[in-house]
Amino acid sequence: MSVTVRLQLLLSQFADGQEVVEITADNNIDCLNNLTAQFPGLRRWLFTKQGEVATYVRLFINRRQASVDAELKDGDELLILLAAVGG
Amino acid sequence: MLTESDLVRYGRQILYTDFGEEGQRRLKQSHVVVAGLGGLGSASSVYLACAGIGHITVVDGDFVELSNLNRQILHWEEDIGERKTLSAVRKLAKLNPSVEVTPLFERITPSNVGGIIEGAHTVIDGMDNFETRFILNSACVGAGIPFIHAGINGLLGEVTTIIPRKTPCFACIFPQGLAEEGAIPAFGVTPALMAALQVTEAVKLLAGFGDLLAGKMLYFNGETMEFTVVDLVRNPECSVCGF
Repeated sequence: MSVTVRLQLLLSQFADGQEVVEITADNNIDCLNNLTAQFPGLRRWLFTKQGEVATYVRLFINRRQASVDAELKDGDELLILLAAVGG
Repeated sequence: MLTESDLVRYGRQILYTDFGEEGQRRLKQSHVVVAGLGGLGSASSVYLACAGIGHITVVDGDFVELSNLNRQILHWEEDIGERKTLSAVRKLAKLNPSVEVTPLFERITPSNVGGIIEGAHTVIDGMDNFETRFILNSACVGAGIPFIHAGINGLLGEVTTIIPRKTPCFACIFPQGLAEEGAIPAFGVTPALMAALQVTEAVKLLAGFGDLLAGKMLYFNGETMEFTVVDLVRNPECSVCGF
């Protein structure tokens, strides 16, 4: 499936400045793996050292909160945001 | 009951059709807890006091430092070394003497949180860490008190209103705790903006009009000036609010 990945500004700097990237994947975890294979600098932001998706990463398919293993359909938009911890 | 002074002081917001004198009366009868007096809590407590919330409890266990002053607008150079709660009460009392402000100089823990939020009509998140947000979320869900969350990072911000048992709670959004990573970049304007949105939510919630960011998260990107609203999903297996 071809999906549009939209990256938060903080993340886009690790994707050659691109805020929108086209990725082929069947589900969110595949998408994150394929995305970070293309842009290795993103990996430390999206995954823990143990290789799991970091808990502060939030995924939204077509602007709706989605789990790490949620399936993707052709044309979906996956929005990736990081939690804002400060106050 | 609104006084003659109230009718003058709050006259411009009373003019707002969906709010009126009844809305102002409701704010006057309300008790709001501001948890944390950093960048978020400084700005939110100012706007809550200006709006005429009858009783504001401000909670923080820290002292004012020079490095706070680029964003924590309630604390000034003369307050360095002072308890943040004392600094806050002094300013808020001058800003609006008709508002009752209760300072609680303590860190929020699982053992004291119940007493801190008891009797509140809403709790405003002014924390700078996720551990305390989880504590507040659990207590608010347990007590049925709305919890208005915000967070910032540099020029990024987020806001959502959590209505216990009706919307996703904080633990639905973050099923596990987060590792903290030292000092977070912060301009003054980002927490100020997010705090203003929190108070907008609080005023509507308490006065009973308008639509809330309930079940939705608003994200702000100050570098691109984008506001994005996404739908949050309740986790039926949530350890805090799951049914």
